[in-house]
Amino acid sequence: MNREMKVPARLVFALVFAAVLVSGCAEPLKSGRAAKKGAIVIQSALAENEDALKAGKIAAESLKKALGSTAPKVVLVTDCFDDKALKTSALKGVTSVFSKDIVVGFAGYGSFTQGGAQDTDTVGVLGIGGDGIDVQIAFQKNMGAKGLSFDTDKAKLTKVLGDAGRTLAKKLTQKADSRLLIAIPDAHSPKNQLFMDGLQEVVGKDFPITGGSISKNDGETFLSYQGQLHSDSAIAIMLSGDFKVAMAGRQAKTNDAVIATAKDGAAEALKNLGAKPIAMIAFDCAGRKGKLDNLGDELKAFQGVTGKDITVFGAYCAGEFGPADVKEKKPGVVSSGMGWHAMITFIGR
Amino acid sequence: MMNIRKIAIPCVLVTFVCLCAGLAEDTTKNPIAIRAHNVVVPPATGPVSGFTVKNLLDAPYTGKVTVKLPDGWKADKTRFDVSLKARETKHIAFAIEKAVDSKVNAYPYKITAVGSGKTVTVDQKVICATTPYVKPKIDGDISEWLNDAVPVTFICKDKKTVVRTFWNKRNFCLCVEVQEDKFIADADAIQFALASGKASTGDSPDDKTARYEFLIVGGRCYQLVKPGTPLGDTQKANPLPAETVAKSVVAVKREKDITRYEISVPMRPMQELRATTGREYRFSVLVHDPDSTGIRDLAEAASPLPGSRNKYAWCKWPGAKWPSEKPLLDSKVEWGFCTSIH
Repeated sequence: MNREMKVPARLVFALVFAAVLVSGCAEPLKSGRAAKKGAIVIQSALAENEDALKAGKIAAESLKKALGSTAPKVVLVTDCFDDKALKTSALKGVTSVFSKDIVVGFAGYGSFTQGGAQDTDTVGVLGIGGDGIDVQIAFQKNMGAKGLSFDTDKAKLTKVLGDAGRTLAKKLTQKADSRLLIAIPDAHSPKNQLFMDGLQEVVGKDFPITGGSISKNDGETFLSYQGQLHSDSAIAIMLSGDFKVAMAGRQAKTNDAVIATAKDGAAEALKNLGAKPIAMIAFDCAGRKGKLDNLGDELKAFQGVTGKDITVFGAYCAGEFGPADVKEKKPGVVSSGMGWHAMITFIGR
Repeated sequence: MMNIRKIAIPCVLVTFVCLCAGLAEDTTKNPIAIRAHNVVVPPATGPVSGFTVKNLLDAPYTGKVTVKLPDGWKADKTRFDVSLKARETKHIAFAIEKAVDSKVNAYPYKITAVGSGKTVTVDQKVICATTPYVKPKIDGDISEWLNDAVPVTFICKDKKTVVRTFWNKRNFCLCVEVQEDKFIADADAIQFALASGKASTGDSPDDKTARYEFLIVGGRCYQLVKPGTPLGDTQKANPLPAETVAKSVVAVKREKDITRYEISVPMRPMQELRATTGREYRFSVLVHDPDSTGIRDLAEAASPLPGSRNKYAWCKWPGAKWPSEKPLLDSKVEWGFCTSIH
């Protein structure tokens, strides 16, 4: 290539890279290879406070204490505050403790940890670290689904959400020791399956995917990435390393069924893990939460299986990813985008 | 003796005829009453549905109930074996697996019960009684209600009323469109009540209320009662509170033959509702239109069962005109808080 041609090529590359950044296709964060038999540390915390900044800070500080000397590679935050300003404050509280580069968050309907369950005015945080686990974080903004209705715009939604899921999944490197993908889109049930279709075109239908759709409450539809709030976006976290994952999904629409299926689903997943559990992560339906006579009863059912010592992190969502609890399961498909489900994942070794 | 016979024989005959008529009535009346429940979140989200069946007789009832759902709907179960003791009432639930939302908000259910030698068929328009999460501006402009709320419409003496509700963590919001020939500021009113999902109305004056009840009259919002007040007190037509509800907002606008009420009351003092997405609660509305239709009762739109009237259902207030012939329907219609519908 002669000199006159090299300059335009560099300029083109720079312009394209700048365009990619501006379009929201930010570079994924990658923590690097997992060390075999390295430590895997997963901890959670929850704080309730009308002052959103305090709630974020207290939750983050509690998480930091629980992590001890382990620096987290990702901090997943879910908040249940009712407007953008409060959500921004909650996020600031968390990023006052952890670097915004590793903090990703989403609006939910409440959360639970091994210490308890809360909803209004709360921040729940999950920290994952240790040199035995590799974490990749990817973000996709401007999916193009805003304002589209499943009833009237299904064809368009299928395209834009499928594209978004595909594009997001391609930002991650699926390695031989990749074990679990956590996906959090602004795409509530039943749109979440359209997003899942895109993810699965890249990672495969037999790859374990969990996660949940963000709150669809008016004025609350936000994810956070690198310290900023976004709508019409999605986050993906790929976890890799020498560990096992087992999942179960359970659907329920009454108080008694929510409690029974929580216990049943957790028991199934723990049994299938075949290893010592490190943590249980649940993406759970806000509708299930609404059926509970007492908010803590579902957590109690989970802990009847896990005991009170292992890390538990649960978030109430507007759609869930995981094994579908349906009569006619699709063969070879591990995860689907559903509603009214509790998607339970154990990580262990 | 002859005079006694002249009186006694006809009396015996009349009594006999009445007894026969009574017995005949008993053998022809339905053994059970059935009512389908409102769906408390949009049908397309796959909610729980169900029905209540009430044994009207002093004898046990055994039967088979079949539910025919609207076209395109699917449930996990539509056939049920029902056994009831004398006068017993049971609630039977089933899950909607597939459904389509309709803008009309009237979903035709056909419920057929075969038992005790009779077939009872009920055709009912089931409503979606849900309150989406929205933060409206209460300013008399109801355009944001038209797309984001789920309206419940009922007709009373050829006059239409449309009720819409929103909720958010700070406020419960209500929009009522009243079709009426005239709006009379200090007489036309909206009265509404909210209670927790498991609340019921007692039947003795010493029983306690389980509801939060509000009155909009003269452009202002008053709280008539909160949970814990003796029911007997609710019938005394006490003077309205000196103060309106703190932080309540009311907008009343008249356009052609429609009076539009837009109201918000703070949510936080209503702790017993435990408002959250997916939570059921109890709700109803009365429209006071004393110069025309009289009282319009939202509970009529919910196809109430026999025995749903209760003299303690609503608070009496000074200046209101109440029907004298029978008590109003209970103010506890099943409703649900849901997330935003779009």
